[in-house]
Amino acid sequence: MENRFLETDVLIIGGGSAGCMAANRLLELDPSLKVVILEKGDIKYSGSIARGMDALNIVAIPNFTTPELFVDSNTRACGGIMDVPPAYQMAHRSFDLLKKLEGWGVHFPLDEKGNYRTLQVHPAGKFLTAMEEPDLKVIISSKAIERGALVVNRTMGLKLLVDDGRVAGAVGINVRTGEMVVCLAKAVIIASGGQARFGLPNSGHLYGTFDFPGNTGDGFVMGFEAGASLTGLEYHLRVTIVKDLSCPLLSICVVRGAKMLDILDNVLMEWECWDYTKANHAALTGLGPLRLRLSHLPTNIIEEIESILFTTERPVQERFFKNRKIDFRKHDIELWPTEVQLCGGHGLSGLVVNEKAETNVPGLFAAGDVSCVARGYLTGAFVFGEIAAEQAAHFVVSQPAPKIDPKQIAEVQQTIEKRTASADKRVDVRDLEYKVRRLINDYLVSPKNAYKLNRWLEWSEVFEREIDEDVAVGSVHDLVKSFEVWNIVKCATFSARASLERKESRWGNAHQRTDYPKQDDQNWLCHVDVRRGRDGEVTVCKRPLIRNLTSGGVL
Amino acid sequence: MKSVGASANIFINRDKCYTCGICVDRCIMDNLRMYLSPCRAACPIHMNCQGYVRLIAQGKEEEAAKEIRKYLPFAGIIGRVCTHPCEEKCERRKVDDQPVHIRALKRYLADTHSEIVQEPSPAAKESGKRVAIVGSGPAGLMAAYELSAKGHAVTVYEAASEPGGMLQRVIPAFRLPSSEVVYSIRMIERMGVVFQTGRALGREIDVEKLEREWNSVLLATGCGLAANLGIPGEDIKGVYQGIDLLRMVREGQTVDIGRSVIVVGGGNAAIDAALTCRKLGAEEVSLVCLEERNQMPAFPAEIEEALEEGIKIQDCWGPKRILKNGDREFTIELSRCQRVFDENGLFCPQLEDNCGLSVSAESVVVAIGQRPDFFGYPTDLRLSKGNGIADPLTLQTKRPKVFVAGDIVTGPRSVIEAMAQGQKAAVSIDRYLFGETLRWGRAFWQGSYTTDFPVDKSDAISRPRAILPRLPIQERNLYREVEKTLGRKAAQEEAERCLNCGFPAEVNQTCWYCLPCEVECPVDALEVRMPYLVR
Repeated sequence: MENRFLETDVLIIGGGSAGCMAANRLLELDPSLKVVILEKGDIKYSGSIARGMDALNIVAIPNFTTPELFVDSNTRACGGIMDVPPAYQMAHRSFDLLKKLEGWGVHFPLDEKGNYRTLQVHPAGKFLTAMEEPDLKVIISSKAIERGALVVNRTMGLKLLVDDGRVAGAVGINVRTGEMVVCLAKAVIIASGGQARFGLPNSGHLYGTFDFPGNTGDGFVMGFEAGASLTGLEYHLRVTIVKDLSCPLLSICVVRGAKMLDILDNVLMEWECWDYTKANHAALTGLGPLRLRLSHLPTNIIEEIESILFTTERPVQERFFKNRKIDFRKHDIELWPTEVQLCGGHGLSGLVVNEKAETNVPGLFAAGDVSCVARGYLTGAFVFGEIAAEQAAHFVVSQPAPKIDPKQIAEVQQTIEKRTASADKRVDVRDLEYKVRRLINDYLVSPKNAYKLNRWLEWSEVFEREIDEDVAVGSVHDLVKSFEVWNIVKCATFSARASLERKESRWGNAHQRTDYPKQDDQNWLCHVDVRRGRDGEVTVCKRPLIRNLTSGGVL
Repeated sequence: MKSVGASANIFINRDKCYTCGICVDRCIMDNLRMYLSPCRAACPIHMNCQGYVRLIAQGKEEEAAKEIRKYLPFAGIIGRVCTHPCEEKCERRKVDDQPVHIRALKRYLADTHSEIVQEPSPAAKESGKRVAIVGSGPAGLMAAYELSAKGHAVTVYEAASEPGGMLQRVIPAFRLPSSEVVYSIRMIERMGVVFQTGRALGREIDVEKLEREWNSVLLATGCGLAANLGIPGEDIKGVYQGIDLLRMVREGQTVDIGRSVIVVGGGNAAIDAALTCRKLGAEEVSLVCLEERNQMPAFPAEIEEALEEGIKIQDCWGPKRILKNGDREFTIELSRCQRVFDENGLFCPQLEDNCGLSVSAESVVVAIGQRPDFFGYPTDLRLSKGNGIADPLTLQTKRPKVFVAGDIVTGPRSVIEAMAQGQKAAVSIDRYLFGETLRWGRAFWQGSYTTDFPVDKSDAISRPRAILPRLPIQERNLYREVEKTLGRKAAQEEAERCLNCGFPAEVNQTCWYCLPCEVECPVDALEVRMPYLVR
């Protein structure tokens, strides 16, 4: 076995929405650039949008909505915790993005008047724009490949390489053969998604998560280790959607007249679906399972709903409902809160970036769910994928090739050797993951308190030792899982520390502390950031919000 | 790997699935692995033989032809002369001792769908890199094809007056018609590969010059010299080396072999030489070999063919001396061979001391093996004691730019093994041209398969294997292909004997039921039923 060694201009870690858009944009700007994408799965369908998305969540359509309205509306949706410049940039470029995708063949349906179909999912403004394109991922990954990106599939990023304070590339591992990949790069764009495999889903299936389970916070941990700041890790995303299946359908159904009911038949949502407060509260206070009722709707509307749900984003819904003998015309759909996840796209958690997709580490950019462009969703991933590409293309022009530091690569090799060393190791890595995620449910999830959060910190040390010393690594697959579970534990620790730091409650059940039950704008209308200390420890600090349009540069 | 029956989630319709492996490749959670059929595991290039056989059985011949084409563009050649290691491992043998005639089915597709099976690859973006290949036998041809398909400019130098190596110049035309080889050469030329004939290493071209003028060099010059018996009289004029005789015949030279011939050797080359002598007009052809009849290295079918044409086989004899008595008579003195291999399984024949048999004939042909010709090779690239000429994993020589492939590396082997070498060298050269390291990622399919699984044969019924029709003896000559192809009905019936051993399966329990595996399956053979915990 030998390492695969690559040298490139820009390395993209993660070939999902943001990664593919970034690759395409880089090569649009300069076809002579060398671009490598490390992809943990297989790039054709990988990531959160394997079968597309039913909408582009945020589009500021000219003469209809504005970026300014979005900034105001989203600030409210974020409970005030949002930096204006990245949000503004995203909304400002969102319509051009739609047109670009349309030019690639992505289907945006129009209404009878010839307008894009929009819905309100924000406190103000109809930004959600319908998109019916199951092949969305196939379209964007093909573009990246056609333009000449070198795709390295089945490779998980493990560690960023650093040369004199700036990023120099990364080390990854082939998830099938265990061979290492070392890629030197003048710039790195992390686009590896959020931390979707966080809390344990109620079904108990480790991979039965709402968001793509391949996303295990790899970018959060790699960025942290390289010195990048993370923010919003106390914000736990948890939505109420189809029970056991954890697939989304509310915005498709509610805006077409479906009603959300609690067990006392109170209507919690009807026509509008931007405010989940009542729903989440009811679900967690014994008034669930909540139910979604469609049976009162005309047949043609139900058929329209089915045609969207059963083809785009999570088409598996069709067989799930059939298996459970649920016919929308006769039966209600049970809803339940999902497991919690940490996500920059759905929530507020991720690497800190400015409106140029820059992190605080020179040469390191981030885009998509791995970064915090608060509640940016798919639009954020696409727009910031392009922004990161533009900035990286500019950055590499003046950069000399980085120097390789064999010590940093050796550290990864040593970890691999330690974990694969034969010894009397008895713990099954799947069991370890189950226990880690069960304890995340027990100790990290709202309602939070200092006692529970500190219990997690104690357990995290146990788990870190067990991953290195007790987990039986019988195959490359087990070894890769050990790295993923390590990342889950690390992200949970970031979250616990950030949650302990924010001594208030905010964002409903995303961060609710029984020991600090009230929202405290006076002290906590700010970010809580996590960063690596000098000895590798987790440090936390406050960071002021940026409320003005023009940013003051790198954070 | 986990037990196959454990998955209640991924269901494969085995009647439809033809193990293309697309589901395994596309799964974004790396959940699936291929349970690889024994035939495919045995094939040196691991082509999906189970797949194209099953497609023939299903009546989907065009799809079958396309499936072969994914793996190589030389099915017409391989379908005729492959040593079929796949058939040696076919599970069908355990049912009725007759493996599926995989080679015949490959040949059937090549003959009936040649435009698909031997279609050139689509033009790749030009890389700007240039590769010189020396030798246009199977290893060189395969490497030329692979490198050209990746966008590199390839020129193949061939010492003889036409390309093809052993395929065109030694293997008898009654086994592999010239037209088949020419068809393949033309196909590769259409892809942009340039052939330059009459260019021999050490004469018209030399390695140093090639190194200077090309981005990479592949030497694939094969084993074109005859191995010698090392007995007195072997180099008397009129004693033919089998490989030289076959070459002369392919060149169209008139050979007066005489009325009687003795051929020394027990392998396929000796059988080919013996049959050639019959077709040259010899009335009495005997074959003497060290091995017992049923231990001869030649294929049983070829031995049958020899016997059918009146060739006599005298087994367990080893030659001690060749004598010439007069103008047109040779005598070989032979001793009983007591043992061919030693305790360690190495070739080390043990002959009795005294001469037990003398045989005479007008000609003698020695066909006991071949060895490489290192003429024109710099010293550092030649075989030396105990050292191979290349890294066996990468086929790179001590000179980083220079690679080797085929019989020159392995010693005389089969056509398909030479092609596998050509493929391996092409992977290395492609990486070398882009400044990449060579040793990573060499495992077949990145290891995403297993061969360790039981094959259910409980429903299998014994059925006789198809027999390829052949020319009646009186119609055979040096140039007419003896073997004919199967008819459609016979091909389908033979393909139906396949036990369909391999299949993809959920192994890692990481399913997110996102469904690209279903979407990508070309025959809707895969169904995601959803993990039980979630349903």
